Amino acid sequence: MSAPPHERFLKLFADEAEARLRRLGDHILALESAGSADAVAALLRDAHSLKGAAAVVGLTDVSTVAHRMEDLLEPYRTGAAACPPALVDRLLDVADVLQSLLPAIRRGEDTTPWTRPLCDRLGAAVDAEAGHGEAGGAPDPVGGPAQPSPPPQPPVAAPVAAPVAVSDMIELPAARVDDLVRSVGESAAASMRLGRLLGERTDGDPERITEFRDLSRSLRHLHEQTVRARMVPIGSITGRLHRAVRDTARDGGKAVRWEASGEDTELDRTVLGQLADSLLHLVRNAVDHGIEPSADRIRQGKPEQASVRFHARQTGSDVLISVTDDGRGIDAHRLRDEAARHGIDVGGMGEDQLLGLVFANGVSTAETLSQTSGRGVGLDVVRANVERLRGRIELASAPGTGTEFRITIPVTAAILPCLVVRAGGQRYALPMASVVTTQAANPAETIRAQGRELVWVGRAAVPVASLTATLGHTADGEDGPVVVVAHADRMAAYRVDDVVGQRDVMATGLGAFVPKLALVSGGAVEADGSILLVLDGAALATTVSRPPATMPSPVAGPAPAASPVRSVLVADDSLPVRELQRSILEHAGYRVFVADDGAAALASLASNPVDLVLTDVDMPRLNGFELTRAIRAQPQLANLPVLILSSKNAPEDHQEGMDAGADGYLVKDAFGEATLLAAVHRLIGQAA
Amino acid sequence: MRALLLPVADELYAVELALLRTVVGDPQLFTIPTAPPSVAGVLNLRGEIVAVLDTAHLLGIGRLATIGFAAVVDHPHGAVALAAEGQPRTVMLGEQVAAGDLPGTVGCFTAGQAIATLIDIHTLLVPAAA
Repeated sequence: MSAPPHERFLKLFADEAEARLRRLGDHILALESAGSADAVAALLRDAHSLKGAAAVVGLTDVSTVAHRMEDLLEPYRTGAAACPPALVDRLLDVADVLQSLLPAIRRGEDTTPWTRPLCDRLGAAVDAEAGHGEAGGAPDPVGGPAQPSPPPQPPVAAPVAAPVAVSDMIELPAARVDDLVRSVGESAAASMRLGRLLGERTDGDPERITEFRDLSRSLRHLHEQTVRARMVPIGSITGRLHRAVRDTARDGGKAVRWEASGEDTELDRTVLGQLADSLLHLVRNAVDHGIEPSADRIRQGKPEQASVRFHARQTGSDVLISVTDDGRGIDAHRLRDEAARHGIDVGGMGEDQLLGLVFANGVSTAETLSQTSGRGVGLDVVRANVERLRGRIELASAPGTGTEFRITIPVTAAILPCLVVRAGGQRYALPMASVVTTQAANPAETIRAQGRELVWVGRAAVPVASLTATLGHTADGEDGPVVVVAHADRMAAYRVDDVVGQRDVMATGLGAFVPKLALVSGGAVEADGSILLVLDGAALATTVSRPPATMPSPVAGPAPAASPVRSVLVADDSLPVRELQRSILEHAGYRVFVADDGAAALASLASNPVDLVLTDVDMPRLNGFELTRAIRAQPQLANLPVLILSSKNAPEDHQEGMDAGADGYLVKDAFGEATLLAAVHRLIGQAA
Repeated sequence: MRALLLPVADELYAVELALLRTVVGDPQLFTIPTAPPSVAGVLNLRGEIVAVLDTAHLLGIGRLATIGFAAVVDHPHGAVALAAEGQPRTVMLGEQVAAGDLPGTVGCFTAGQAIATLIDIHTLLVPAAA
């Protein structure tokens, strides 16, 4: 796995602070001009932002320094008097010291030896200023006992005499990047026209001309790089979410732990910007109304410290974001009463539909109102925002256990590893996340059952259809290879004209005026100016198929086209944990099925044979120990490796797992990508 | 008001010129499988994928026989193109001579010797997710 979350936060803080401190330095210099109210206001804003960001990442001293800078500046807010040069010197020194500490902060080193004296000196200056204020004299912000102290020496990484460091990051207006993308697109279009012209003049394929081929390749690369420049990691807003959780928890007197994963997942900056407020609302709502007061939690046998978990991951052409709390959950019956009170017809509504009422305007089960939530006018706006971005929001909640909001949002621009195929003369991209395997055309290996054609994929007989016909075009006897796609427990095979190859595709949405389509999730502008449509692999897997029937392979027939990819069934009732495991395993090349409890895992095994089961212990309906015992009780599954991954770490838990028949037991506290993959490799070998 | 006249189904429809980004002649359209009939396809506008809508279908007066031009307009939800059969031209709209009966239209106005129906882009073009 990548850097620990805290380290990532520190790096994000330092990157942001670098630009902020540069601005701060400019504003400090402007202070010396008379009538510098604007500079003071700007300086106060930056100091305030620096204070907040530092507090969130745990840099208390840096936060205090920024706070004291605010105190020192407060008397000059009106701009009536110019700041004395001594104050400007002091502030510039502070900015320099903080700037010099950034490399150490990035490395996660302790900076208090430098920041603590700085805090003390600034504190003394503030006290001195207050003393002068009471006496009615002009403030002397530099006075006090701090004056004799030498300025702090920055860490070794930034010697005072070092040449001016040029940042490896630049800030520039997003519109400039958009202009760049447009210009590159225009260049690609010009290249396409040139290709046509060359083709006409030479009566041949322009790609055979080396110079033109090189130009096309360079433009393709340039296009990908410029579009990539618009993508930002979701981690760029998780600091704000963390801060919101912290502040809301402090206001409510609650102890809440913030956990975030998948912060490296990238989204188009516009999409992320439009989503940020909705996510802020969800995390505040979770703390404000989802998490119970500590006393209630203790009474219920829950840990006093609650948790709010944020998880993001890219899945195909979508990004999936979940916000999960372990609070009181949503009472569907109270929702029903509340909705009925608002005149909503709740007759015949199932539990899922009742839960969906939280997205209705005015409906809330919150017992109290707060500044941030509880008025029933928030989640309807969140849903509207998500849908405006052509996404969807879902909710799962269990009373007493917690609530999970899950947002699925199309990536406006994403780099997707895809398999490019041709069907009906058109090229299409299939996200590799959905592709299981491809098989060469071999009519001898196809079978018929229940009026349809099937192909063998491992031990499963999978329905096969024409991709051209499925996309609504007239299929003209396709006899090319078969591409097998899967989603959850569904699998389907599609016959195509041919497989063009595998490559990264810069996928974008089709715009706000194309409705959400059943089988097409986006498009990509190719270097030759054409548009490659990206298909929705999950939808294709479920459109024509039923869960594949498991049956014995034909004894005398040709050897089944066994999937070379090893598969793992992940059973865990926590979505983020499930998705993290899936992400790690898929990244390592395994095919992954998921189940949200032991019973679902057992049901999945009946139709989807796998090479390994990775299971949690504490799950509803059937826990991990019971699942393991159930697997061992079935002769056809008796030899299936089972790996337990649990937060239960008592010796008796390990013993119970092994007694149940598990082949390994990992503890979540010590869980890491390397540990998990090592255990999986040990049991079933490499992915393929 | 200066407007762009779009020849659509033997009639003229007008869009406010200030909303126009560009006109693409003989657009290279990429059709989208399973898209509704109002979406004629998408085109590559300098690297940006822009939906091309069948103006006649949107107005409820049938389907375009051909797509000779695409007028790309800037909408608050992004660029979108209205397809036209013939070459668009700009005119100064005159007085209103009839009310707008079709959905998404303001009314009929004189346009030189002809009559054009002015389209209200914000009413006619509703984002799919709205």
